[in-house]
Amino acid sequence: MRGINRKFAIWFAVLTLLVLVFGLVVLDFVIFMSNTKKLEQKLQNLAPAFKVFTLKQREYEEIIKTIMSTPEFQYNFTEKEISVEEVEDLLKELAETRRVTVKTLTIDAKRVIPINFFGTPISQPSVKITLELERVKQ
Amino acid sequence: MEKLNIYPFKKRKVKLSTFLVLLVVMLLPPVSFNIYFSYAKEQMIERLQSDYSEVLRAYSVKLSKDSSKNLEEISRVESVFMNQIKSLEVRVNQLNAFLDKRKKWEDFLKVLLNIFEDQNRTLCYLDFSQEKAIVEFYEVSKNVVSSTFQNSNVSTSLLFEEKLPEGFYLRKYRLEYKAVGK
Repeated sequence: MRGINRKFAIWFAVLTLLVLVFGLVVLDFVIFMSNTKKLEQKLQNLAPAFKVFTLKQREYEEIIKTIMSTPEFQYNFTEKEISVEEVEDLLKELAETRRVTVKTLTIDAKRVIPINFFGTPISQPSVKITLELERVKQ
Repeated sequence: MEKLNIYPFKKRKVKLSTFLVLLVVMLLPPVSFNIYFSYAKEQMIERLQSDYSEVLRAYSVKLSKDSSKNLEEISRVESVFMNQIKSLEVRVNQLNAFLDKRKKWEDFLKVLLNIFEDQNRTLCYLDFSQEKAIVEFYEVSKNVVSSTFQNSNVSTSLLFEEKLPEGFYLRKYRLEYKAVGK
Protein backbone atom coordinates (compact mmCIF):
# COMPACT_ATOMS: atom_id res chain seq x y z
CA MET A 1 0.00 0.00 0.00
CA ARG A 2 1.32 3.40 -0.95
CA GLY A 3 1.18 6.26 1.60
CA ILE A 4 3.02 7.84 4.52
CA ASN A 5 4.02 6.09 7.64
CA ARG A 6 1.29 6.79 10.19
CA LYS A 7 3.62 7.38 13.11
CA PHE A 8 5.71 9.73 11.07
CA ALA A 9 2.59 11.57 9.84
CA ILE A 10 1.29 12.09 13.36
CA TRP A 11 4.63 13.18 14.80
CA PHE A 12 5.24 15.49 11.87
CA ALA A 13 1.81 17.09 12.25
CA VAL A 14 2.20 17.47 16.04
CA LEU A 15 5.69 18.91 15.74
CA THR A 16 4.53 21.31 13.03
CA LEU A 17 1.79 22.44 15.38
CA LEU A 18 4.20 22.90 18.27
CA VAL A 19 6.80 24.70 16.16
CA LEU A 20 4.21 27.05 14.71
CA VAL A 21 2.53 27.75 18.03
CA PHE A 22 5.55 28.06 20.33
CA GLY A 23 8.28 28.84 17.83
CA LEU A 24 6.50 31.51 15.86
CA VAL A 25 3.19 32.78 17.20
CA VAL A 26 3.80 32.68 20.95
CA LEU A 27 7.46 33.65 20.64
CA ASP A 28 6.53 36.60 18.46
CA PHE A 29 3.92 37.67 21.00
CA VAL A 30 6.34 37.27 23.91
CA ILE A 31 8.90 39.44 22.08
CA PHE A 32 6.17 41.96 21.30
CA MET A 33 5.11 42.05 24.95
CA SER A 34 8.67 42.50 26.16
CA ASN A 35 9.35 45.31 23.65
CA THR A 36 6.02 46.95 24.41
CA LYS A 37 6.82 46.88 28.13
CA LYS A 38 10.14 48.61 27.44
CA LEU A 39 8.36 51.07 25.16
CA GLU A 40 5.79 51.88 27.83
CA GLN A 41 8.54 52.34 30.40
CA LYS A 42 10.27 54.80 28.09
CA LEU A 43 7.01 56.62 27.38
CA GLN A 44 6.26 56.76 31.11
CA ASN A 45 9.58 58.50 31.67
CA LEU A 46 9.20 60.70 28.64
CA ALA A 47 5.62 61.94 29.20
CA PRO A 48 6.10 63.96 32.43
CA ALA A 49 9.46 65.28 31.23
CA PHE A 50 7.80 66.35 28.00
CA LYS A 51 5.06 68.16 29.94
CA VAL A 52 7.62 70.07 32.00
CA PHE A 53 9.61 70.77 28.86
CA THR A 54 6.61 72.23 26.99
CA LEU A 55 5.72 74.36 30.01
CA LYS A 56 9.28 75.71 30.23
CA GLN A 57 9.35 76.27 26.49
CA ARG A 58 6.06 78.18 26.62
CA GLU A 59 7.36 80.23 29.54
CA TYR A 60 10.53 81.01 27.58
CA GLU A 61 8.51 82.00 24.51
CA GLU A 62 6.26 84.25 26.60
CA ILE A 63 9.29 86.08 28.01
CA ILE A 64 10.78 86.45 24.53
CA LYS A 65 7.41 87.68 23.23
CA THR A 66 7.19 90.23 26.05
CA ILE A 67 10.69 91.45 25.29
CA MET A 68 9.97 91.60 21.57
CA SER A 69 6.78 93.57 22.16
CA THR A 70 8.91 96.51 23.32
CA PRO A 71 10.07 98.99 20.68
CA GLU A 72 12.92 98.21 18.30
CA PHE A 73 16.20 99.83 19.27
CA GLN A 74 17.38 102.04 16.43
CA TYR A 75 20.82 103.22 17.47
CA ASN A 76 23.74 101.27 16.13
CA PHE A 77 27.14 102.58 17.10
CA THR A 78 29.95 101.94 19.53
CA GLU A 79 31.56 105.36 19.76
CA LYS A 80 30.20 108.69 18.59
CA GLU A 81 29.82 112.36 19.34
CA ILE A 82 26.17 113.30 19.63
CA SER A 83 24.21 116.26 20.88
CA VAL A 84 22.82 116.51 24.39
CA GLU A 85 19.27 116.15 23.04
CA GLU A 86 20.28 112.97 21.27
CA VAL A 87 21.75 111.65 24.51
CA GLU A 88 18.39 112.24 26.16
CA ASP A 89 16.60 110.38 23.33
CA LEU A 90 19.09 107.56 23.54
CA LEU A 91 18.62 107.16 27.28
CA LYS A 92 14.85 107.25 26.83
CA GLU A 93 15.03 104.54 24.18
CA LEU A 94 17.33 102.45 26.32
CA ALA A 95 14.80 102.70 29.12
CA GLU A 96 11.80 101.85 26.91
CA THR A 97 13.13 98.93 24.93
CA ARG A 98 13.91 95.60 26.46
CA ARG A 99 15.37 94.16 23.31
CA VAL A 100 18.81 95.33 24.34
CA THR A 101 20.70 95.71 27.54
CA VAL A 102 23.59 98.03 28.20
CA LYS A 103 26.88 96.33 28.92
CA THR A 104 28.88 99.53 29.13
CA LEU A 105 27.93 103.14 28.60
CA THR A 106 30.16 106.14 28.90
CA ILE A 107 28.90 109.66 28.44
CA ASP A 108 31.71 112.12 28.57
CA ALA A 109 30.34 115.65 28.88
CA LYS A 110 33.16 117.05 30.92
CA ARG A 111 33.35 120.07 28.69
CA VAL A 112 29.76 120.97 29.59
CA ILE A 113 29.54 124.25 31.44
CA PRO A 114 26.29 123.81 33.31
CA ILE A 115 25.37 127.44 33.69
CA ASN A 116 26.22 130.78 32.32
CA PHE A 117 26.74 133.70 34.61
CA PHE A 118 23.01 134.41 34.84
CA GLY A 119 22.40 131.01 36.40
CA THR A 120 20.56 129.42 33.46
CA PRO A 121 21.54 126.00 32.18
CA ILE A 122 23.18 125.83 28.77
CA SER A 123 23.93 122.74 26.73
CA GLN A 124 27.03 121.76 24.92
CA PRO A 125 26.67 120.93 21.21
CA SER A 126 28.15 117.45 21.34
CA VAL A 127 28.93 114.82 23.89
CA LYS A 128 31.27 111.89 23.46
CA ILE A 129 29.48 108.64 23.99
CA THR A 130 30.62 105.03 24.05
CA LEU A 131 28.00 102.33 24.09
CA GLU A 132 28.26 98.57 24.17
CA LEU A 133 25.00 96.72 23.90
CA GLU A 134 23.79 93.17 24.11
CA ARG A 135 20.78 92.16 22.09
CA VAL A 136 18.38 89.45 23.10
CA LYS A 137 18.89 86.26 21.10
CA GLN A 138 15.83 84.48 19.84
CA MET B 1 -14.22 -14.78 0.97
CA GLU B 2 -12.57 -11.96 2.80
CA LYS B 3 -8.85 -11.29 2.43
CA LEU B 4 -7.03 -11.02 5.74
CA ASN B 5 -3.64 -9.56 6.27
CA ILE B 6 -2.34 -11.27 9.28
CA TYR B 7 1.32 -10.37 8.75
CA PRO B 8 2.40 -9.18 12.27
CA PHE B 9 5.10 -6.66 11.17
CA LYS B 10 3.10 -4.74 8.69
CA LYS B 11 3.68 -0.92 8.64
CA ARG B 12 0.56 1.20 9.19
CA LYS B 13 0.29 3.92 6.64
CA VAL B 14 -1.98 6.90 6.01
CA LYS B 15 -3.02 8.23 2.67
CA LEU B 16 -1.37 11.42 1.42
CA SER B 17 -4.73 13.19 1.39
CA THR B 18 -5.33 12.17 5.02
CA PHE B 19 -1.88 13.46 5.93
CA LEU B 20 -2.59 16.78 4.22
CA VAL B 21 -5.91 17.07 6.04
CA LEU B 22 -4.07 16.37 9.29
CA LEU B 23 -1.56 19.09 8.53
CA VAL B 24 -4.29 21.59 7.71
CA VAL B 25 -6.06 20.73 10.96
CA MET B 26 -2.80 21.23 12.85
CA LEU B 27 -2.39 24.62 11.23
CA LEU B 28 -5.70 25.84 12.61
CA PRO B 29 -4.57 26.46 16.23
CA PRO B 30 -1.54 28.61 15.24
CA VAL B 31 -3.68 30.60 12.85
CA SER B 32 -6.35 31.22 15.47
CA PHE B 33 -3.69 32.08 18.07
CA ASN B 34 -2.19 34.45 15.57
CA ILE B 35 -5.52 36.18 14.99
CA TYR B 36 -6.10 36.49 18.73
CA PHE B 37 -2.60 37.83 19.43
CA SER B 38 -2.86 40.24 16.55
CA TYR B 39 -6.07 41.62 18.07
CA ALA B 40 -4.39 41.83 21.50
CA LYS B 41 -1.44 43.70 19.96
CA GLU B 42 -3.77 46.20 18.29
CA GLN B 43 -5.52 46.80 21.59
CA MET B 44 -2.21 47.40 23.36
CA ILE B 45 -0.98 49.76 20.65
CA GLU B 46 -4.26 51.69 20.76
CA ARG B 47 -4.01 52.01 24.54
CA LEU B 48 -0.44 53.27 24.35
CA GLN B 49 -1.39 55.64 21.55
CA SER B 50 -4.20 57.18 23.61
CA ASP B 51 -2.31 57.20 26.95
CA TYR B 52 0.72 59.00 25.52
CA SER B 53 -0.96 60.85 22.65
CA GLU B 54 0.64 64.19 23.60
CA VAL B 55 4.23 63.01 23.24
CA LEU B 56 3.53 60.77 20.27
CA ARG B 57 1.67 63.53 18.41
CA ALA B 58 4.38 66.07 19.16
CA TYR B 59 7.01 63.91 17.51
CA SER B 60 4.62 62.43 14.89
CA VAL B 61 5.19 58.87 16.02
CA LYS B 62 2.73 56.29 14.74
CA LEU B 63 2.98 53.07 16.72
CA SER B 64 2.65 49.88 14.73
CA LYS B 65 2.55 46.17 15.45
CA ASP B 66 6.25 46.01 14.71
CA SER B 67 7.48 46.39 18.28
CA SER B 68 11.18 46.72 17.45
CA LYS B 69 10.38 49.54 15.03
CA ASN B 70 8.36 51.21 17.80
CA LEU B 71 11.33 50.95 20.15
CA GLU B 72 13.61 52.46 17.50
CA GLU B 73 11.17 55.34 16.98
CA ILE B 74 10.96 56.05 20.71
CA SER B 75 14.75 55.94 21.00
CA ARG B 76 14.89 58.51 18.19
CA VAL B 77 12.29 60.64 20.01
CA GLU B 78 14.34 60.37 23.20
CA SER B 79 17.49 61.60 21.52
CA VAL B 80 15.62 64.46 19.78
CA PHE B 81 14.01 65.34 23.11
CA MET B 82 17.36 65.34 24.93
CA ASN B 83 18.78 67.67 22.27
CA GLN B 84 15.76 69.94 22.63
CA ILE B 85 16.20 70.01 26.42
CA LYS B 86 19.87 70.90 26.03
CA SER B 87 19.12 73.65 23.52
CA LEU B 88 16.32 75.06 25.71
CA GLU B 89 18.65 74.97 28.70
CA VAL B 90 21.27 76.95 26.78
CA ARG B 91 18.64 79.45 25.60
CA VAL B 92 17.16 79.83 29.09
CA ASN B 93 20.64 80.40 30.53
CA GLN B 94 21.33 83.01 27.85
CA LEU B 95 18.00 84.69 28.55
CA ASN B 96 18.60 84.64 32.30
CA ALA B 97 22.03 86.19 31.81
CA PHE B 98 20.45 88.83 29.55
CA LEU B 99 17.67 89.55 32.05
CA ASP B 100 20.20 89.77 34.87
CA LYS B 101 22.19 92.36 32.92
CA ARG B 102 18.99 94.14 31.98
CA LYS B 103 17.93 94.27 35.64
CA LYS B 104 21.25 95.82 36.61
CA TRP B 105 20.80 98.44 33.88
CA GLU B 106 17.18 99.16 34.91
CA ASP B 107 18.15 99.48 38.58
CA PHE B 108 20.86 101.94 37.65
CA LEU B 109 18.47 103.80 35.35
CA LYS B 110 16.10 104.34 38.28
CA VAL B 111 18.92 105.91 40.25
CA LEU B 112 19.87 108.04 37.23
CA LEU B 113 16.30 109.22 36.66
CA ASN B 114 16.01 109.95 40.33
CA ILE B 115 19.06 112.23 40.09
CA PHE B 116 17.82 114.12 37.07
CA GLU B 117 14.25 114.55 38.31
CA ASP B 118 15.68 117.77 39.66
CA GLN B 119 15.83 120.22 36.75
CA ASN B 120 18.79 122.02 38.28
CA ARG B 121 21.15 119.17 37.63
CA THR B 122 23.31 118.66 34.55
CA LEU B 123 25.08 115.45 33.68
CA CYS B 124 28.79 115.82 33.34
CA TYR B 125 30.16 112.30 33.19
CA LEU B 126 28.67 108.85 33.25
CA ASP B 127 30.46 105.53 33.17
CA PHE B 128 28.26 102.49 33.49
CA SER B 129 29.36 98.89 33.50
CA GLN B 130 27.70 95.74 34.80
CA GLU B 131 29.64 95.96 38.06
CA LYS B 132 29.50 99.63 38.93
CA ALA B 133 28.69 103.10 37.66
CA ILE B 134 30.12 106.52 38.19
CA VAL B 135 28.01 109.62 37.62
CA GLU B 136 29.29 113.14 37.90
CA PHE B 137 26.90 116.03 37.67
CA TYR B 138 26.53 119.70 38.41
CA GLU B 139 23.83 121.15 40.57
CA VAL B 140 22.77 124.75 40.76
CA SER B 141 20.66 125.52 43.81
CA LYS B 142 20.15 127.74 46.77
CA ASN B 143 19.89 124.75 49.10
CA VAL B 144 22.55 123.43 51.34
CA VAL B 145 24.42 120.28 50.23
CA SER B 146 21.81 117.73 49.19
CA SER B 147 21.69 114.31 50.75
CA THR B 148 18.92 112.84 48.66
CA PHE B 149 20.64 109.61 47.60
CA GLN B 150 19.85 107.41 50.54
CA ASN B 151 20.71 104.11 48.97
CA SER B 152 23.07 101.45 50.24
CA ASN B 153 24.45 100.91 46.74
CA VAL B 154 25.13 104.58 46.19
CA SER B 155 27.82 106.73 47.70
CA THR B 156 27.89 110.43 46.91
CA SER B 157 30.74 112.86 47.35
CA LEU B 158 30.88 116.59 46.75
CA LEU B 159 33.72 117.43 44.37
CA PHE B 160 33.53 121.19 44.54
CA GLU B 161 31.27 124.07 45.51
CA GLU B 162 31.24 127.57 44.12
CA LYS B 163 29.16 130.52 45.13
CA LEU B 164 27.20 132.20 42.33
CA PRO B 165 25.37 135.52 42.31
CA GLU B 166 21.96 135.89 43.99
CA GLY B 167 22.69 133.28 46.62
CA PHE B 168 23.00 130.36 44.20
CA TYR B 169 25.59 127.62 44.57
CA LEU B 170 27.21 125.56 41.85
CA ARG B 171 28.16 122.18 43.16
CA LYS B 172 29.70 119.20 41.44
CA TYR B 173 28.87 115.74 42.77
CA ARG B 174 30.36 112.36 42.13
CA LEU B 175 28.10 109.41 42.64
CA GLU B 176 29.37 105.86 42.79
CA TYR B 177 26.87 103.11 42.25
CA LYS B 178 27.54 99.43 42.94
CA ALA B 179 25.44 97.02 40.90
CA VAL B 180 23.81 94.18 42.80
CA GLY B 181 23.07 90.85 41.16
CA LYS B 182 19.92 88.77 41.55
